[in-house]
Amino acid sequence: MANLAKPENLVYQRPEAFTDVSTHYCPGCTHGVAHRLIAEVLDEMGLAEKTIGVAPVGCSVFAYSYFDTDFVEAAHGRAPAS
Amino acid sequence: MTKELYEGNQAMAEAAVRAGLEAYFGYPITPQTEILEHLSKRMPELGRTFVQAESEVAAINMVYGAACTGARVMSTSSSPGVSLMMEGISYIAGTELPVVLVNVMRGGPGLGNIAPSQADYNQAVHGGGHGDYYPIVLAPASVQEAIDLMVLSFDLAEKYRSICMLIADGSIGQMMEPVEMPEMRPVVRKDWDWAVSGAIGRERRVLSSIYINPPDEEIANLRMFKRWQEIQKNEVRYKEYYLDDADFVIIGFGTAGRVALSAVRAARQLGIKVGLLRPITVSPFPSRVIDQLASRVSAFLVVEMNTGQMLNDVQLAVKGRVPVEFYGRLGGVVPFPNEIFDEIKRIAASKLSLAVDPRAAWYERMTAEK
Repeated sequence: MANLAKPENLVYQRPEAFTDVSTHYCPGCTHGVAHRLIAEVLDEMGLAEKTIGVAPVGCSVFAYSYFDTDFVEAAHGRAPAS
Repeated sequence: MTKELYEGNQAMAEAAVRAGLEAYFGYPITPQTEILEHLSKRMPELGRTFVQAESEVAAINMVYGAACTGARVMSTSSSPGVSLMMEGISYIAGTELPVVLVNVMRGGPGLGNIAPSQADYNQAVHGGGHGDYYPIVLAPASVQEAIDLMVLSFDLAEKYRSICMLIADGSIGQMMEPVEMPEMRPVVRKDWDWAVSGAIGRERRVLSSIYINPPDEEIANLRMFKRWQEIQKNEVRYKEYYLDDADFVIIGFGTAGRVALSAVRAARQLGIKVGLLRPITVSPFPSRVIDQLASRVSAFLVVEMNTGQMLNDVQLAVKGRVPVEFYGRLGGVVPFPNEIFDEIKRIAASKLSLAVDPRAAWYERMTAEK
Protein backbone atom coordinates (compact mmCIF):
# COMPACT_ATOMS: atom_id res chain seq x y z
CA MET A 1 0.00 0.00 0.00
CA ALA A 2 2.84 2.36 0.88
CA ASN A 3 3.91 2.89 -2.75
CA LEU A 4 0.53 4.44 -3.60
CA ALA A 5 1.90 7.77 -2.27
CA LYS A 6 4.57 7.85 -4.99
CA PRO A 7 4.20 10.97 -7.20
CA GLU A 8 3.40 8.85 -10.27
CA ASN A 9 0.50 7.31 -8.38
CA LEU A 10 -0.86 10.57 -7.04
CA VAL A 11 -4.15 11.49 -8.74
CA TYR A 12 -5.64 13.81 -6.14
CA GLN A 13 -4.00 16.61 -4.12
CA ARG A 14 -4.67 20.11 -2.95
CA PRO A 15 -4.54 22.56 -5.90
CA GLU A 16 -1.81 25.18 -5.56
CA ALA A 17 -4.38 27.93 -6.13
CA PHE A 18 -5.91 27.00 -2.79
CA THR A 19 -4.77 28.50 0.50
CA ASP A 20 -3.94 26.08 3.31
CA VAL A 21 -7.25 26.65 5.06
CA SER A 22 -10.05 24.20 5.86
CA THR A 23 -13.37 25.43 4.48
CA HIS A 24 -16.36 26.12 6.71
CA TYR A 25 -18.77 24.31 4.37
CA CYS A 26 -21.06 21.62 5.77
CA PRO A 27 -20.33 17.94 5.05
CA GLY A 28 -21.88 17.05 1.68
CA CYS A 29 -21.96 20.64 0.44
CA THR A 30 -20.80 21.02 -3.18
CA HIS A 31 -19.31 24.48 -2.74
CA GLY A 32 -15.97 22.86 -1.95
CA VAL A 33 -16.14 20.77 -5.13
CA ALA A 34 -16.93 23.85 -7.21
CA HIS A 35 -14.03 25.75 -5.60
CA ARG A 36 -11.71 22.83 -6.28
CA LEU A 37 -12.67 22.66 -9.97
CA ILE A 38 -11.96 26.38 -10.34
CA ALA A 39 -8.64 26.07 -8.50
CA GLU A 40 -7.59 23.14 -10.71
CA VAL A 41 -8.32 25.16 -13.84
CA LEU A 42 -6.31 28.11 -12.46
CA ASP A 43 -3.39 25.74 -11.84
CA GLU A 44 -3.64 24.04 -15.23
CA MET A 45 -3.70 27.35 -17.07
CA GLY A 46 -1.16 29.02 -14.76
CA LEU A 47 -3.56 31.89 -14.08
CA ALA A 48 -3.55 32.20 -10.29
CA GLU A 49 -1.20 35.19 -10.20
CA LYS A 50 -3.27 37.05 -12.79
CA THR A 51 -6.59 36.29 -11.12
CA ILE A 52 -8.79 38.66 -9.15
CA GLY A 53 -11.59 36.62 -7.60
CA VAL A 54 -14.99 38.10 -6.79
CA ALA A 55 -16.75 36.48 -3.84
CA PRO A 56 -20.54 36.57 -3.53
CA VAL A 57 -22.75 36.81 -0.44
CA GLY A 58 -24.09 33.57 0.99
CA CYS A 59 -22.14 30.54 2.20
CA SER A 60 -19.34 31.24 -0.27
CA VAL A 61 -18.91 34.75 1.12
CA PHE A 62 -15.59 33.51 2.54
CA ALA A 63 -14.34 32.18 -0.81
CA TYR A 64 -11.61 34.81 -0.54
CA SER A 65 -10.12 32.82 2.32
CA TYR A 66 -9.76 29.66 0.22
CA PHE A 67 -8.17 30.89 -3.02
CA ASP A 68 -4.58 32.07 -3.01
CA THR A 69 -5.32 35.01 -5.32
CA ASP A 70 -6.29 38.66 -5.07
CA PHE A 71 -9.96 38.86 -4.11
CA VAL A 72 -12.85 41.29 -3.91
CA GLU A 73 -15.99 40.82 -1.84
CA ALA A 74 -19.12 41.82 -3.77
CA ALA A 75 -22.59 42.74 -2.54
CA HIS A 76 -25.42 40.20 -2.46
CA GLY A 77 -26.15 39.03 -6.02
CA ARG A 78 -23.79 41.60 -7.53
CA ALA A 79 -20.64 39.56 -8.15
CA PRO A 80 -21.11 39.43 -11.95
CA ALA A 81 -21.38 43.24 -12.10
CA SER A 82 -18.42 43.73 -9.76
CA MET B 1 -7.45 80.11 -23.06
CA THR B 2 -10.51 80.52 -25.28
CA LYS B 3 -13.88 79.98 -23.71
CA GLU B 4 -16.16 77.38 -25.19
CA LEU B 5 -19.92 77.01 -24.86
CA TYR B 6 -20.72 73.84 -22.94
CA GLU B 7 -23.84 72.27 -21.52
CA GLY B 8 -23.34 71.41 -17.84
CA ASN B 9 -23.70 67.65 -18.25
CA GLN B 10 -21.37 67.49 -21.23
CA ALA B 11 -18.96 69.79 -19.42
CA MET B 12 -18.80 67.52 -16.37
CA ALA B 13 -18.30 64.51 -18.65
CA GLU B 14 -15.50 66.17 -20.61
CA ALA B 15 -13.89 67.44 -17.39
CA ALA B 16 -13.87 63.87 -16.05
CA VAL B 17 -12.24 62.65 -19.27
CA ARG B 18 -9.57 65.32 -18.94
CA ALA B 19 -9.04 64.45 -15.27
CA GLY B 20 -7.94 60.99 -16.42
CA LEU B 21 -11.16 59.02 -16.05
CA GLU B 22 -10.25 55.43 -16.93
CA ALA B 23 -13.62 53.71 -16.66
CA TYR B 24 -17.26 54.83 -16.62
CA PHE B 25 -20.36 52.81 -15.82
CA GLY B 26 -23.83 54.32 -15.90
CA TYR B 27 -27.44 54.18 -16.89
CA PRO B 28 -29.47 56.91 -18.59
CA ILE B 29 -31.84 59.12 -16.59
CA THR B 30 -32.98 62.69 -17.17
CA PRO B 31 -31.62 65.28 -16.39
CA GLN B 32 -28.12 63.73 -16.48
CA THR B 33 -28.23 61.55 -19.61
CA GLU B 34 -25.91 63.85 -21.60
CA ILE B 35 -23.06 62.81 -19.29
CA LEU B 36 -23.54 59.22 -20.37
CA GLU B 37 -24.07 60.24 -23.99
CA HIS B 38 -20.90 62.32 -24.12
CA LEU B 39 -18.82 59.58 -22.49
CA SER B 40 -20.28 56.91 -24.79
CA LYS B 41 -18.52 58.73 -27.61
CA ARG B 42 -15.39 60.03 -25.88
CA MET B 43 -14.30 57.03 -23.82
CA PRO B 44 -14.15 54.46 -26.65
CA GLU B 45 -12.38 56.88 -29.00
CA LEU B 46 -9.70 57.32 -26.33
CA GLY B 47 -9.45 53.58 -25.75
CA ARG B 48 -11.00 53.82 -22.29
CA THR B 49 -13.83 51.83 -20.73
CA PHE B 50 -17.47 52.83 -21.12
CA VAL B 51 -20.33 50.52 -20.16
CA GLN B 52 -24.02 51.32 -20.26
CA ALA B 53 -25.15 48.89 -17.60
CA GLU B 54 -28.56 47.20 -17.41
CA SER B 55 -29.48 49.29 -14.36
CA GLU B 56 -28.05 51.70 -11.82
CA VAL B 57 -27.61 48.74 -9.45
CA ALA B 58 -25.35 47.01 -11.95
CA ALA B 59 -23.54 50.27 -12.77
CA ILE B 60 -22.55 50.99 -9.16
CA ASN B 61 -21.34 47.44 -8.66
CA MET B 62 -19.25 47.70 -11.83
CA VAL B 63 -17.84 50.89 -10.34
CA TYR B 64 -17.07 48.95 -7.16
CA GLY B 65 -15.16 46.28 -9.07
CA ALA B 66 -13.24 48.76 -11.22
CA ALA B 67 -12.36 50.89 -8.19
CA CYS B 68 -10.92 47.78 -6.50
CA THR B 69 -8.34 47.62 -9.29
CA GLY B 70 -7.23 51.20 -8.56
CA ALA B 71 -8.71 52.72 -11.73
CA ARG B 72 -10.07 56.29 -11.82
CA VAL B 73 -13.72 55.45 -12.04
CA MET B 74 -17.03 57.27 -12.01
CA SER B 75 -20.76 56.81 -12.28
CA THR B 76 -23.46 59.43 -12.64
CA SER B 77 -27.21 59.46 -12.26
CA SER B 78 -30.16 61.52 -11.13
CA SER B 79 -32.13 61.26 -7.90
CA PRO B 80 -34.17 58.01 -8.36
CA GLY B 81 -31.16 56.32 -9.94
CA VAL B 82 -28.90 57.39 -7.08
CA SER B 83 -31.35 55.84 -4.63
CA LEU B 84 -30.93 52.56 -6.52
CA MET B 85 -27.17 52.87 -6.13
CA MET B 86 -27.23 53.31 -2.38
CA GLU B 87 -26.43 49.70 -1.48
CA GLY B 88 -23.35 49.79 -3.68
CA ILE B 89 -22.33 53.19 -2.33
CA SER B 90 -22.33 51.78 1.20
CA TYR B 91 -20.17 48.84 0.07
CA ILE B 92 -17.77 51.26 -1.61
CA ALA B 93 -17.56 53.26 1.63
CA GLY B 94 -17.07 50.09 3.67
CA THR B 95 -14.32 48.83 1.38
CA GLU B 96 -12.66 52.28 1.54
CA LEU B 97 -12.51 52.81 -2.22
CA PRO B 98 -12.01 56.12 -4.03
CA VAL B 99 -15.06 56.63 -6.22
CA VAL B 100 -16.51 59.73 -7.87
CA LEU B 101 -20.26 60.06 -8.31
CA VAL B 102 -22.51 62.75 -9.73
CA ASN B 103 -26.14 63.27 -8.81
CA VAL B 104 -27.88 65.74 -11.14
CA MET B 105 -30.82 66.26 -8.81
CA ARG B 106 -34.45 66.39 -9.88
CA GLY B 107 -37.77 66.91 -8.10
CA GLY B 108 -38.90 64.13 -5.77
CA PRO B 109 -39.54 61.98 -3.79
CA GLY B 110 -40.36 58.97 -5.95
CA LEU B 111 -40.42 59.49 -9.67
CA GLY B 112 -41.06 63.20 -9.06
CA ASN B 113 -40.19 65.15 -12.16
CA ILE B 114 -37.17 66.16 -14.21
CA ALA B 115 -36.88 69.76 -13.01
CA PRO B 116 -34.00 71.16 -10.90
CA SER B 117 -34.09 70.34 -7.20
CA GLN B 118 -31.91 70.17 -4.09
CA ALA B 119 -34.06 67.60 -2.34
CA ASP B 120 -31.28 64.99 -2.15
CA TYR B 121 -29.12 67.07 0.21
CA ASN B 122 -29.87 64.85 3.19
CA GLN B 123 -29.36 61.66 1.19
CA ALA B 124 -25.99 62.85 -0.08
CA VAL B 125 -24.68 64.63 3.02
CA HIS B 126 -26.17 62.61 5.85
CA GLY B 127 -25.85 59.09 4.55
CA GLY B 128 -28.16 57.41 2.10
CA GLY B 129 -26.44 54.09 2.35
CA HIS B 130 -26.36 52.08 5.57
CA GLY B 131 -23.52 52.11 8.04
CA ASP B 132 -21.19 54.62 9.65
CA TYR B 133 -19.53 56.63 6.88
CA TYR B 134 -19.11 60.20 5.68
CA PRO B 135 -18.85 61.07 1.99
CA ILE B 136 -17.32 64.23 0.55
CA VAL B 137 -20.10 66.18 -1.19
CA LEU B 138 -19.53 69.13 -3.52
CA ALA B 139 -22.21 71.52 -4.81
CA PRO B 140 -21.43 73.60 -7.92
CA ALA B 141 -23.37 76.77 -8.78
CA SER B 142 -22.24 77.19 -12.39
CA VAL B 143 -21.03 75.08 -15.29
CA GLN B 144 -17.45 76.32 -14.78
CA GLU B 145 -17.57 75.40 -11.11
CA ALA B 146 -19.00 71.98 -12.01
CA ILE B 147 -15.96 71.43 -14.26
CA ASP B 148 -13.48 72.56 -11.62
CA LEU B 149 -15.12 70.45 -8.90
CA MET B 150 -15.31 67.44 -11.22
CA VAL B 151 -11.53 67.49 -11.56
CA LEU B 152 -11.07 68.10 -7.84
CA SER B 153 -13.41 65.19 -7.01
CA PHE B 154 -10.98 62.59 -8.33
CA ASP B 155 -8.07 64.03 -6.37
CA LEU B 156 -10.10 64.21 -3.15
CA ALA B 157 -11.53 60.72 -3.56
CA GLU B 158 -8.07 59.22 -4.06
CA LYS B 159 -6.38 61.30 -1.36
CA TYR B 160 -8.80 60.05 1.29
CA ARG B 161 -9.93 56.71 -0.21
CA SER B 162 -13.39 58.20 -0.01
CA ILE B 163 -16.58 58.64 -1.96
CA CYS B 164 -16.75 62.09 -3.50
CA MET B 165 -20.20 62.98 -4.76
CA LEU B 166 -20.99 66.04 -6.82
CA ILE B 167 -24.58 67.17 -6.29
CA ALA B 168 -25.62 69.39 -9.18
CA ASP B 169 -29.13 70.81 -9.36
CA GLY B 170 -30.78 69.75 -12.63
CA SER B 171 -30.30 73.30 -13.88
CA ILE B 172 -26.50 72.97 -13.64
CA GLY B 173 -26.65 69.87 -15.80
CA GLN B 174 -28.98 71.34 -18.40
CA MET B 175 -27.85 74.93 -18.91
CA MET B 176 -25.14 76.14 -21.28
CA GLU B 177 -22.44 78.60 -20.27
CA PRO B 178 -19.09 79.75 -21.65
CA VAL B 179 -16.35 77.84 -19.83
CA GLU B 180 -12.68 77.00 -19.85
CA MET B 181 -11.86 73.31 -19.96
CA PRO B 182 -8.82 72.01 -18.09
CA GLU B 183 -5.82 70.53 -19.86
CA MET B 184 -6.04 66.85 -20.76
CA ARG B 185 -4.34 64.73 -18.10
CA PRO B 186 -3.20 61.24 -19.07
CA VAL B 187 -4.81 58.15 -17.57
CA VAL B 188 -2.47 57.08 -14.77
CA ARG B 189 -3.04 53.81 -12.94
CA LYS B 190 -1.33 54.56 -9.67
CA ASP B 191 0.50 51.81 -7.82
CA TRP B 192 -1.81 51.81 -4.79
CA ASP B 193 -0.74 49.54 -1.95
CA TRP B 194 -4.34 48.37 -1.53
CA ALA B 195 -5.55 47.75 -5.09
CA VAL B 196 -6.06 44.27 -6.53
CA SER B 197 -4.30 43.63 -9.82
CA GLY B 198 -3.19 39.99 -9.54
CA ALA B 199 -0.78 38.79 -6.84
CA ILE B 200 2.33 38.74 -9.02
CA GLY B 201 5.44 38.78 -6.83
CA ARG B 202 3.64 40.03 -3.76
CA GLU B 203 1.28 38.91 -1.00
CA ARG B 204 -2.30 38.54 -2.18
CA ARG B 205 -4.75 41.29 -1.28
CA VAL B 206 -8.40 41.03 -0.32
CA LEU B 207 -10.77 43.99 -0.61
CA SER B 208 -13.94 43.61 1.40
CA SER B 209 -16.41 45.47 3.57
CA ILE B 210 -16.96 42.40 5.74
CA TYR B 211 -15.67 42.36 9.32
CA ILE B 212 -17.34 39.39 10.96
CA ASN B 213 -15.65 40.08 14.27
CA PRO B 214 -17.28 43.27 15.68
CA PRO B 215 -14.06 44.67 17.24
CA ASP B 216 -12.45 44.48 13.78
CA GLU B 217 -15.36 46.43 12.31
CA GLU B 218 -14.93 49.00 15.07
CA ILE B 219 -11.27 49.39 14.11
CA ALA B 220 -12.31 49.88 10.47
CA ASN B 221 -14.95 52.43 11.50
CA LEU B 222 -12.37 54.32 13.56
CA ARG B 223 -9.95 54.33 10.61
CA MET B 224 -12.66 55.77 8.35
CA PHE B 225 -13.62 58.32 10.97
CA LYS B 226 -10.02 59.46 11.35
CA ARG B 227 -9.92 60.10 7.60
CA TRP B 228 -13.17 62.05 7.91
CA GLN B 229 -11.61 64.23 10.61
CA GLU B 230 -8.73 64.97 8.23
CA ILE B 231 -11.24 65.87 5.51
CA GLN B 232 -13.09 68.18 7.89
CA LYS B 233 -9.82 69.87 8.80
CA ASN B 234 -8.44 70.27 5.27
CA GLU B 235 -11.20 70.36 2.70
CA VAL B 236 -13.93 72.83 3.69
CA ARG B 237 -14.64 75.12 0.76
CA TYR B 238 -17.12 77.98 0.39
CA LYS B 239 -17.56 81.33 -1.36
CA GLU B 240 -18.37 84.51 0.48
CA TYR B 241 -19.91 87.66 -0.95
CA TYR B 242 -20.30 91.03 0.85
CA LEU B 243 -19.68 89.48 4.26
CA ASP B 244 -17.26 92.12 5.61
CA ASP B 245 -19.93 94.61 6.65
CA ALA B 246 -23.01 92.38 6.49
CA ASP B 247 -25.76 92.87 9.08
CA PHE B 248 -27.32 89.57 8.11
CA VAL B 249 -26.25 86.72 5.88
CA ILE B 250 -27.95 84.46 3.34
CA ILE B 251 -26.71 80.88 3.14
CA GLY B 252 -27.50 78.86 0.02
CA PHE B 253 -25.69 76.23 -2.04
CA GLY B 254 -25.74 75.51 -5.76
CA THR B 255 -28.44 77.19 -7.82
CA ALA B 256 -30.22 78.60 -4.74
CA GLY B 257 -27.00 80.32 -3.70
CA ARG B 258 -26.47 81.67 -7.18
CA VAL B 259 -30.01 83.07 -7.43
CA ALA B 260 -29.57 84.55 -3.96
CA LEU B 261 -26.48 86.44 -5.15
CA SER B 262 -28.61 88.35 -7.68
CA ALA B 263 -30.98 89.29 -4.86
CA VAL B 264 -28.09 90.31 -2.60
CA ARG B 265 -26.67 92.59 -5.31
CA ALA B 266 -30.09 94.21 -5.79
CA ALA B 267 -30.41 94.70 -2.03
CA ARG B 268 -26.94 96.24 -1.82
CA GLN B 269 -28.04 98.85 -4.37
CA LEU B 270 -30.76 99.83 -1.90
CA GLY B 271 -28.14 100.06 0.85
CA ILE B 272 -29.28 96.89 2.67
CA LYS B 273 -26.22 95.34 4.28
CA VAL B 274 -26.79 91.72 3.42
CA GLY B 275 -24.09 89.17 2.59
CA LEU B 276 -24.02 85.67 1.10
CA LEU B 277 -22.21 82.51 2.11
CA ARG B 278 -22.32 79.77 -0.51
CA PRO B 279 -21.04 76.39 0.72
CA ILE B 280 -19.13 74.53 -2.00
CA THR B 281 -18.40 71.53 0.19
CA VAL B 282 -21.75 70.75 1.79
CA SER B 283 -19.90 67.82 3.34
CA PRO B 284 -17.64 68.68 5.13
CA PHE B 285 -19.99 71.54 6.02
CA PRO B 286 -18.52 75.03 6.61
CA SER B 287 -19.77 75.05 10.20
CA ARG B 288 -16.78 76.99 11.54
CA VAL B 289 -17.27 80.06 9.38
CA ILE B 290 -21.00 80.06 10.19
CA ASP B 291 -20.13 79.73 13.87
CA GLN B 292 -17.85 82.77 13.59
CA LEU B 293 -20.43 84.77 11.63
CA ALA B 294 -23.10 83.97 14.23
CA SER B 295 -21.15 85.98 16.80
CA ARG B 296 -21.25 89.18 14.74
CA VAL B 297 -24.34 89.21 12.46
CA SER B 298 -27.94 89.75 13.52
CA ALA B 299 -29.61 86.94 11.52
CA PHE B 300 -29.30 84.33 8.80
CA LEU B 301 -31.57 83.43 5.92
CA VAL B 302 -31.20 79.92 4.54
CA VAL B 303 -32.41 79.53 0.94
CA GLU B 304 -32.83 76.07 -0.52
CA MET B 305 -34.75 74.15 -3.18
CA ASN B 306 -36.15 71.78 -0.53
CA THR B 307 -37.95 72.11 2.80
CA GLY B 308 -34.85 73.13 4.71
CA GLN B 309 -32.47 70.19 4.75
CA MET B 310 -29.28 72.27 5.01
CA LEU B 311 -31.18 74.53 7.43
CA ASN B 312 -30.60 71.91 10.12
CA ASP B 313 -26.84 72.06 9.63
CA VAL B 314 -26.87 75.86 9.73
CA GLN B 315 -28.90 75.80 12.96
CA LEU B 316 -26.37 73.42 14.50
CA ALA B 317 -23.57 75.88 13.72
CA VAL B 318 -25.52 78.97 14.85
CA LYS B 319 -26.48 77.27 18.14
CA GLY B 320 -29.53 79.46 18.70
CA ARG B 321 -27.54 82.70 19.10
CA VAL B 322 -29.38 84.64 16.36
CA PRO B 323 -32.55 83.98 14.36
CA VAL B 324 -32.20 81.69 11.33
CA GLU B 325 -34.93 82.37 8.77
CA PHE B 326 -35.80 80.05 5.91
CA TYR B 327 -37.04 80.33 2.35
CA GLY B 328 -37.51 77.30 0.13
CA ARG B 329 -39.05 76.29 -3.18
CA LEU B 330 -39.86 72.65 -3.68
CA GLY B 331 -40.54 69.85 -6.10
CA GLY B 332 -38.49 71.15 -9.02
CA VAL B 333 -39.39 74.84 -8.67
CA VAL B 334 -36.46 77.29 -8.80
CA PRO B 335 -36.82 80.56 -6.86
CA PHE B 336 -36.63 83.84 -8.78
CA PRO B 337 -34.25 86.54 -7.49
CA ASN B 338 -37.19 88.81 -6.64
CA GLU B 339 -38.60 86.18 -4.24
CA ILE B 340 -35.35 86.19 -2.29
CA PHE B 341 -35.14 89.97 -2.64
CA ASP B 342 -38.57 90.18 -0.96
CA GLU B 343 -37.28 87.96 1.86
CA ILE B 344 -34.26 90.24 2.29
CA LYS B 345 -36.53 93.29 2.54
CA ARG B 346 -38.81 91.47 5.00
CA ILE B 347 -35.88 90.56 7.23
CA ALA B 348 -34.33 94.04 7.00
CA ALA B 349 -37.65 95.61 8.04
CA SER B 350 -38.75 93.27 10.82
CA LYS B 351 -37.78 92.44 14.36
CA LEU B 352 -36.99 88.72 14.26
CA SER B 353 -37.59 86.37 17.15
CA LEU B 354 -35.51 83.42 18.27
CA ALA B 355 -38.71 81.70 19.37
CA VAL B 356 -40.07 81.26 15.85
CA ASP B 357 -39.66 77.92 14.06
CA PRO B 358 -38.27 79.12 10.71
CA ARG B 359 -39.67 76.17 8.77
CA ALA B 360 -43.17 76.58 10.21
CA ALA B 361 -43.10 80.34 9.62
CA TRP B 362 -41.96 79.84 6.03
CA TYR B 363 -44.76 77.32 5.47
CA GLU B 364 -47.31 79.82 6.78
CA ARG B 365 -46.03 82.51 4.43
CA MET B 366 -45.90 80.07 1.48
CA THR B 367 -49.47 78.92 1.89
CA ALA B 368 -51.10 82.17 3.05
CA GLU B 369 -53.89 83.57 0.88
CA LYS B 370 -52.36 86.30 -1.27
